[in-house]
Amino acid sequence: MEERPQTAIKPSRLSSASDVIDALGGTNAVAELLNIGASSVSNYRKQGFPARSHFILAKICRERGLDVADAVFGGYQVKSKKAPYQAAPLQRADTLTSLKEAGFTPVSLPILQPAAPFIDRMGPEMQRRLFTFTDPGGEQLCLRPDLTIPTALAHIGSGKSGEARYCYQGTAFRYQPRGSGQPEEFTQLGLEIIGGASAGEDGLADDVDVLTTIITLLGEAGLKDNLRFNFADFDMLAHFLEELDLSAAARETVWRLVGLADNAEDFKRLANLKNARPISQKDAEKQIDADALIVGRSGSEILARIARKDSEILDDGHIAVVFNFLSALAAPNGIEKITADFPNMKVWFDRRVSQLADAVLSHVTGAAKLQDIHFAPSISRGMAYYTGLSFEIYSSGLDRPIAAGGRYDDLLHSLGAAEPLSAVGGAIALERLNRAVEMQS
Amino acid sequence: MSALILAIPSKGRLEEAAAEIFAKAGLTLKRDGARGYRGSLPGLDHVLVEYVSAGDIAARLAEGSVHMGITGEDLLREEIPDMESAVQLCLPLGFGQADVVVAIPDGWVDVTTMFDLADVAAEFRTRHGRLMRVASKYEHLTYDFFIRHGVEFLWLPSFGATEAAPNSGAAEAIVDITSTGATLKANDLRIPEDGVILKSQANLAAALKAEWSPDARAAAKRILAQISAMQAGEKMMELKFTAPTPPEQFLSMDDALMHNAVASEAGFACTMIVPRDRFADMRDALGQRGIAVIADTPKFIFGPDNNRAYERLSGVLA
Repeated sequence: MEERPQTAIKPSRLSSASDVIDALGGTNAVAELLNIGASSVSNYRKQGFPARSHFILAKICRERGLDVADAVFGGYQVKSKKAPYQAAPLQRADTLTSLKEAGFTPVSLPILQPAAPFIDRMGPEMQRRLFTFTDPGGEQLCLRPDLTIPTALAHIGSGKSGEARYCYQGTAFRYQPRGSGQPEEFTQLGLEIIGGASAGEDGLADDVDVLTTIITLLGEAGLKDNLRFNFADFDMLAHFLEELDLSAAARETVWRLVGLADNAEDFKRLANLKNARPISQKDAEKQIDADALIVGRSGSEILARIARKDSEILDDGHIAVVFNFLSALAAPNGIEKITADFPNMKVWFDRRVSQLADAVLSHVTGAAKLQDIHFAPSISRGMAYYTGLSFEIYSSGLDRPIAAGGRYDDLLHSLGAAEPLSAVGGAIALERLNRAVEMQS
Repeated sequence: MSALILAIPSKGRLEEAAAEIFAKAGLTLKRDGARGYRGSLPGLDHVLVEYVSAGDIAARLAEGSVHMGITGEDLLREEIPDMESAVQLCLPLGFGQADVVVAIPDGWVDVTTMFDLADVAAEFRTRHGRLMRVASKYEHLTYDFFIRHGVEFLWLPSFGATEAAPNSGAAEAIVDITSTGATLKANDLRIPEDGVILKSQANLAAALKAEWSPDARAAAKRILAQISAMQAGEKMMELKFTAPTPPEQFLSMDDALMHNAVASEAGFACTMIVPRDRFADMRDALGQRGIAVIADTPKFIFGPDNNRAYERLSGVLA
């Protein structure tokens, strides 16, 4: 090894136990830190540090700002590679107070939740990001990944009837891959309206209420400009499909494929896959006994699916129309393009845009225009439980939404509510909001 | 500490295969005692060989406490989130070949593609009131693949006899590793047409987070060059024959890596290096002319190509 100059100009990376011992003040100093004999420390110089000292030494090196190669402490990270948790400075009592004045009841919800409702209703993408564990009694629990399902469970538990309006502010937990730079622990400020008007012809009142409240909160925090809105609306697709001459089964198929597809091209690919026939009805009947149970599915269930295939086939014309619809929607001026290309969608969009524009455009100052509103058939990072209009709000400079929400009319019933309850809600990611405010000021 | 630390699987077939590859590449792994956990590569002073339990090598590479290691691509991709940022696959080694696959009950005759499975999974939920269960030891590979194909499911951790899970009623489908598919067949399971998640094999991989001293880099360059040269040789055949006329008159030289003909009294003494898959044609062409051929695999082919793997690595290490 080269001779090191006596006075280092810039601290270099320490790549051996010996380097670290020198940097910490020599053999005796390290012996004192670890509360062991100096002769042991001398051995470490040659043999490396034992595992039991890795944590404490890594911690001391971190505190002293020493740059140490990971390998010196057996791979123990001296510098934390995960995004540190930062408490949200916006976490203040008056935010909830203003929601209280607007008619929302603050609720505090357990951080520990039963895992099953989340696994069952959030979809696999969220499911893999759950922190789950088994309690000593064998029950599977999780740290809440959002506060909507906990609010729904609390509402069901309370036995209340009629409309209820809730607000909350609390920590949620989602696993993030190392190096993603995203925090695993973050604060949600949100509101939920449960048991209100169901989404009907003009049943957007609650949806608009949630949206307006969230936009107002963003505005109070100092974020009024450069907001972008992504909407997904199941009603849009339902309306579009009504205009097509499709069997009920084929309509159901398009619905599902659009939900699965990443884009128009992907829809085409999936539709062709869907049209492929795995096996003829005759061959299937020869091979399968309708009464048999074949790993969780009955023979009749399998035969029924094959029989149904014929009615689900999409002809090329239908595939092309849906393809054009999805392409137009994804265009930069999606709404303009789609109302031009699909005149029968114009009425729907005009009404929807005017309903939302009241909520969105009138509360946002400055440049927000129709171009800042986008419609998509589904929101990519959305929760699987949304059933109607859902939204994401982006601030320029951040690639993740600062707020998101939507309608989830069948969630409460599936979680055990006695009857179907319409519901709509949304939440702001407070840490992200703070970053957006910092970036804009 | 400035040496290159090389992690070798500590026992079994993997250790033998690794030792064999290194020996073929002219690098003899010398283990300190049959059960020792240290070793060396005689001739390369700056290498410390560590014998590591096969299941731990991916983690050691990820954290950078070893520089290079031999392990399966399946384990690297499963155990290291965002693998490309932590580990580089330098050279596939040609052993431990196996596929990570989705397997479904053979009796589900209506399912031949992952798309069908997505369809069935959605129906399964409405019909049976619960998610379709998939047993696997590969949590991340399973989630990535199933999400990509839009399949709703519940992951069931399974660390042994996974193929038995569907018949025992513990799960409906599995994700497992298979080399011949015989175990799946014996358990009435079948792979959907597009159900292969990963074609895996043992790889010599490098840890991007390790501390790469100049000595460690030099050692890595040597090791990669030796193995590349050996692998380049294995892809080729060396032909020696004596022809009455210059060989280019009756053989196409386009595919030959090298060729050389020396005129002598007996004819033209030729040496050619050709790709293995061209060998049969050449042999036939020579046979038709009654020319005897000596053929063998070249042990090494050294050349600029040998450094490709190292150049890729040093490009990322910066």
